[in-house]
Amino acid sequence: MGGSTDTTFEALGSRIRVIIDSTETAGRRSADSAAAEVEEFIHRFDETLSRFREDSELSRFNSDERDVVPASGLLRTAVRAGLWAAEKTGGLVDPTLLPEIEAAGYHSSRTGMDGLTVEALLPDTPGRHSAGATEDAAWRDFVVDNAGGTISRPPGLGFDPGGTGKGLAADMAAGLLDGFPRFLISCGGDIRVGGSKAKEVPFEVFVEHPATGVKPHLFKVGHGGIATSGIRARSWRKEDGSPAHHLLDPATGEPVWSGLIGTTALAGTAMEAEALAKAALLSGPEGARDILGPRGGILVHEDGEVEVAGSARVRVRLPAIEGSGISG
Amino acid sequence: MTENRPEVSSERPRKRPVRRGKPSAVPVFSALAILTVAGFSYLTVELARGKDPALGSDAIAAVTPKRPVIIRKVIKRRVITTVTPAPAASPSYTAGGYSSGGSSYSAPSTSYSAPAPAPAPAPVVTASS
Repeated sequence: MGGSTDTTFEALGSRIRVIIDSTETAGRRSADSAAAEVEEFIHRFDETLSRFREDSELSRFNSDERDVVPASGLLRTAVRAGLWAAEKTGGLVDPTLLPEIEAAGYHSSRTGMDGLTVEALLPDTPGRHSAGATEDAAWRDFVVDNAGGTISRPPGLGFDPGGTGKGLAADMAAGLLDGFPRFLISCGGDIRVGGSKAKEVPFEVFVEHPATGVKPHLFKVGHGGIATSGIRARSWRKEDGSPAHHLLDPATGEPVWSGLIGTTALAGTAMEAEALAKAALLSGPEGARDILGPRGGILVHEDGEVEVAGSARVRVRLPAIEGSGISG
Repeated sequence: MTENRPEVSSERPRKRPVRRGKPSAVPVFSALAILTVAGFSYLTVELARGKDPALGSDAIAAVTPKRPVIIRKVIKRRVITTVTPAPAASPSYTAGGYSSGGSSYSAPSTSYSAPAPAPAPAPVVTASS
């Protein structure tokens, strides 16, 4: 039976959206049943890998005092993905900054909580600098043994899938949709597109401006991944009143104020796009251009300016952000 | 005796007109050939420059602005919505329409509310979350 489906639900602390076009899959499973499989998988992913659930396998793993811990295939995959992203970004996307992120104030789920507005967030922030990686980063101590079904690391060294989790979920869910001609999976804005027909009829994906909410750019995505990282959605004030967000400098363990408030990356997969977007934001404008240039992407500067990275570089002037002292 | 005088004519002897000879065919044909080649060359150059004399003067062409050709790729989003019939409301019987003793029977009038038009799908957005 043919048809299309567009499903939305909540998981991973975000909104998940699954669009499946099955007009050419007569005689095979329906788009509705496939969407249900995707939803079931993503809930299972969330239950296994959420650091905010005490009963999740990840939480049990992080509190396990053994050096070598038996781990499910899903947890091993998530850890390998995190290590891959760390390697890919030169250590900027570090999955072992769990104590630092909790010390910064992100110790419980922020689902349903609004972040600070950029106007409120930026004027009080300290000087701008790009993040840096450390040579002896702790993530290098992780060893995933697929044959033995274990993960080893020094006890007490926790793993945080926050840098790659949603992209990985979208990519893994895409594996459930093989054979469908056109589909899109968005896990909180980290998006995977697939299907042979999607190349002919790409999905239109709008980039949302983190400060104004307008959509200044549209990508037509026919294959691969697109993801956005930003400081606004998961931002808060610490007890001392200073602003904080969830993107930390591995060198200092503190939130980074790099001069960018949002970045969007295109890549072959959603997970790669997510890692690149985060690394770009952590690197500041110059580094972000280098990271996003080869595949394309978007930089949103603190003053609201939107810059398209890649071969078609364009700078778009947007209206000033009122009340922030930021000129557009 | 008669004098043989020569006849004297008061008319001045006519100058015989100098009859020009027929022009040679070679220069004529040469000139024609040169003119023809020059003419065609001129037309060729003009046509190559896009100025066809048969189509009008340069002035008109200069005044008429060139219209840019815009090729728009229109991608239609096809939304296939499965319309399920609204659940049947409780049939509303016409009062007195049913007579238990007879055969007359008013069919229950079942009111269906027209299905609301399907809302447009929300755009796909990538944003920090």
